[in-house]
Amino acid sequence: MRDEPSGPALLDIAHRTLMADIVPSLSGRQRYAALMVANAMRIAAREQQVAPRAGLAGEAILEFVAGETDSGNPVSALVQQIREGRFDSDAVLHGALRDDAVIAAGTWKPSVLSPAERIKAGLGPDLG
Amino acid sequence: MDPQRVNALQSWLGRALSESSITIDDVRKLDGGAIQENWRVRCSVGGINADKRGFVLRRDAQTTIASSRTRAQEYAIIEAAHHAGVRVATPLAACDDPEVIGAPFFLMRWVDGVSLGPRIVKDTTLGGDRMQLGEQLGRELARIHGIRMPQASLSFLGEPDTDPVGSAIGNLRATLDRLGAARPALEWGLRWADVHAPPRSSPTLVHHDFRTGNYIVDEQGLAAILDWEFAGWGDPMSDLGWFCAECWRFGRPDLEAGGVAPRAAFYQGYEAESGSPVDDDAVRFWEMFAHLRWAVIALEQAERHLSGREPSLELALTGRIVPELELAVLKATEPGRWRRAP
Repeated sequence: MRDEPSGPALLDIAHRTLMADIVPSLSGRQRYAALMVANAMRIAAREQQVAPRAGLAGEAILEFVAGETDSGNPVSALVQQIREGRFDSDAVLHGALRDDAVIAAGTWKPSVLSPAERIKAGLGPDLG
Repeated sequence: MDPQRVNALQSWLGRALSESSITIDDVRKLDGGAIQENWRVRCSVGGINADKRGFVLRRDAQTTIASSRTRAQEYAIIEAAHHAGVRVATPLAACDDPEVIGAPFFLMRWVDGVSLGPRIVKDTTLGGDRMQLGEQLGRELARIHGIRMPQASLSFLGEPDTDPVGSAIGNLRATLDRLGAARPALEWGLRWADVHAPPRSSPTLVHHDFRTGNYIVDEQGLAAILDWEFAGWGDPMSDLGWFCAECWRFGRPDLEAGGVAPRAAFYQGYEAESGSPVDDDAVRFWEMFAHLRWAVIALEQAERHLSGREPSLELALTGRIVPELELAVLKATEPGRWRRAP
């Protein structure tokens, strides 16, 4: 059984409170710091929202080196192969990297994505 | 700054500026400056009817990233730019002695205006006529690129790279390795750069961080070019690419010259001042590369927080910029844009 409200719901109400009750009374460096705090809270909330899709996107990238590494970090192995030119202009890898980047970029700032990309990332078409 | 250091600074100012009577009225740290700290120093010079003067003091932050020059070197570069007619805050004196205020620093004349990139882009009451601002920025950059070897005062810059693209790629890969950052999207972009490097331009002094956010404007126009710590010999087209890169347009992707003017105005000013045509293909290459470079710098800044050396929300958030830059790189280097595409 999970306690309610959930972590994302707490982040949401904390963010709303910060923006409505605290930020308007601040100025200068304090306002800047409070807005950074608000931004960090939104990123953390979105990260939970997109976690399932982000996991799948990460796995899709790792498939390119599946079975090729006996030990060590498989992402590092992929990096090495990209450096060696083994994936030059490879459309499938490019697509997987792009899917992953869309989710991560949308987590950071949804406004950098098109509405279609926001849906793909699991963020919904509107700017939250 | 603690009172003991303010007193030491006051004594140093008197000697450096050859002023027998100088009093520091106020010392205040300015916002920004993740790599270096900037302080505003207000002084009274002379006894009765004292002359009020303002200065900027620039010193190392608690930790600096690896690609940053020393303050003495940055001061020498600003002096060279000043002599070449580049609009900079007038350099006044430098201090290598860390005992005075805890770290080496240098002093420039205060320049009124605004440097915050997003504000310059949004507030069109700043910077004067925007077409003229774009052209003026092109002219200033051409003046910087007019500084060529040999320059005795800049001997610390060493010899220019014979393979600037290869070295830039190698440096970014080395930094990623040092950070332990396995980022396939950045590697994809670096590999594209490897395959599509433009022909080398004749080396000049390159600012290496010439962008909106690193110059001051007032209501009339451009007031000063700032932040010279990355300058060195290099490919001049890399500066144009950095300036035009979408990541430095602050929400105005349509204004390709730093979010403030059309690209044509910037190129026009550059070509008029330099007497040479802009290599547009090379600039576009360096624009893509700008995203790679900024992404690696962002990872370095995030590491300052992650390592525990300098806990900072601002540095932590900087690390989260990286995927936006990776997406821009991937869009600019789609499989159909590879020269060797099947």
